[in-house]
Amino acid sequence: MNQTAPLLSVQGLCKDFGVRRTLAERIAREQASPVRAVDDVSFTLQRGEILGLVGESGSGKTTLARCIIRLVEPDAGTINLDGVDVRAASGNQLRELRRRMQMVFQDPYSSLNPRMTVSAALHEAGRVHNRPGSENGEQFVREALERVHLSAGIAKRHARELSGGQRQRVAVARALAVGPEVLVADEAVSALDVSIQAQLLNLFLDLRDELGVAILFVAHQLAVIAEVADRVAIMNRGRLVEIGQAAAVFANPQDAYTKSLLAAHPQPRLSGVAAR
Amino acid sequence: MGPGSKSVLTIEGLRVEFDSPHGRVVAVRDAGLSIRPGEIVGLIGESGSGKTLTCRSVIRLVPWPGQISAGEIEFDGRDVLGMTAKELRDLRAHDVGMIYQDPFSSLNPVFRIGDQVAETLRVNLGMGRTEGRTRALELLRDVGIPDPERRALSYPHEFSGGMRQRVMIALATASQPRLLLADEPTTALDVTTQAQILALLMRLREERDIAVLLVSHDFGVIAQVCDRVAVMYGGHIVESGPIAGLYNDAQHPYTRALLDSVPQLESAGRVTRKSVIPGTPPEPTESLTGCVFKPRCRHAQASCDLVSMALEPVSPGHVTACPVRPFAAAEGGQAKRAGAEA
Repeated sequence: MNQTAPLLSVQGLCKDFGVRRTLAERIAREQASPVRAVDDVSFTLQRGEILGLVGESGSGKTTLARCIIRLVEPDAGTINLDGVDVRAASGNQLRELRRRMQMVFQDPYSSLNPRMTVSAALHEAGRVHNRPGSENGEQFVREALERVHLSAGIAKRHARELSGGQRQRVAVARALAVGPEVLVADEAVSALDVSIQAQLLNLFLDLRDELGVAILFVAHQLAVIAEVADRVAIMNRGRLVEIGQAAAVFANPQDAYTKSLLAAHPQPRLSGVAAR
Repeated sequence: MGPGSKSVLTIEGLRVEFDSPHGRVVAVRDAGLSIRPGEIVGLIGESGSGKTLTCRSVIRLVPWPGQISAGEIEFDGRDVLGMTAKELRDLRAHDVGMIYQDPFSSLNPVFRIGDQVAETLRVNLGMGRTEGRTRALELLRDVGIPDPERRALSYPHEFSGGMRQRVMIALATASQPRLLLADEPTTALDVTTQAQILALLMRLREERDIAVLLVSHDFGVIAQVCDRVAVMYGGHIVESGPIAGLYNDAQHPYTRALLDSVPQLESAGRVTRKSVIPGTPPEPTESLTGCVFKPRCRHAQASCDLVSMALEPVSPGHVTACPVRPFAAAEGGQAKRAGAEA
């Protein structure tokens, strides 16, 4: 369907987590069976594509997201970014890969240093990765803020002085300051009010269009994914149960679990309400 | 008592204030609400809108240093704000149940589930030990906990989020209250579990004629279960009415904008920019004159500075605080909301 080689390619990724043995197992000297958080997951991400990853809590979607940028070391499988083997990388090569793949977390309050101003946080990201333009701090910060539609006036503030939406924009600005090709957004809009959430969803669409950045967009809310994703992957108990074009998956789900998720989505039960 | 006498709960002119280092903060201003028996009323708003405080005011659980500084709350013809400590305890024990967003922090981690439910029955309803235990099992079964005899012996951490919320509902409804206050009861739950909890609330309403005040930030949840809904913004109720009327024919610009912001499944494959509300909700410390929504409103006019935020009728039961009515004139008041047609 798509002739160009994918930007990011994940094949057969697995991750087990050991669990503490129960008392009975310890007495019987049995080994506790590990929990398979990510189980043989394969997918690709094209340049400039937004792939939505949906699952309920405990489905392994966050572990998968973290494995891809090696915040969590996977146990098996391959991760390939533009021809580079991510799992084999170390040292400077890994650092460069992490520059090319940036992550945005759910809670910007805990992902931003409370003692740093917005300006310091953005400038530091640029300096660490020797980004062009980062020697001129003021302009670098202004451009980073412009990218996420924030005024330069907030550069001197600390994270606690910002609203939730502004904080998340700063977190996105920091991720983008190092010029990534892939953005992994792990529940990046889940903690926000709907009116602010809608603003952020528009921002992610703008960034994709303007910068051509590919986004792995992790969320538990189906409707949020429907608003931004080109393709969607459904995760259940560590496995990808369905992956495909967003319109096709939502209109005509094939997997029983996808169907149950869609059926559980709250819908108005009003008579006389137009389909929205 | 007038036409409101059939309501189980009536709130009028409620005002909740806090003393903060930055001066006096008014978190809820002149809020009014009524709920009839067997009715599910939604209270929707974004964080800081005052929806949770309004809900908690009903049983006078406004957290310190907040206080109810004006208004009337009438439950079943009784004046809640004038109650003595004993009367208030009785109200909370027998007449009004409450469930919270996080059921784990509402349950005692060191006691078994069955014992906690039985204790509530002994203390609130004066049941004996044996009777309490038997009734507790019935209650747990009634809220859909499978194998209650065995699960009653479990501790809260052994329950899933949905099961814990079922236990909370069992506790809150143990004394057959006439009103259940549900503050974001499904926000912490997965979507499939959320659907089950909402179905349970609707079943309780059918079977026991319980009235429910459902506080939520999620229009999807509200639209699925509520008969009527009140929209809060900046401490004010800006619009309220029957759910269908509000959904199809919202008259307040904030309600419309909120509805337009809600992510839709139908957007799949047709990704477009949403029309969004610019800016952020007002800080409680800001004092605004006129309409609270004016700074973010695309229909704002000079006259909005003089708006009193009093609710005016649109149609039977449907009221709005916006006197400009930008939608009534343009669309004849009957136009269907057309979010998906763009």
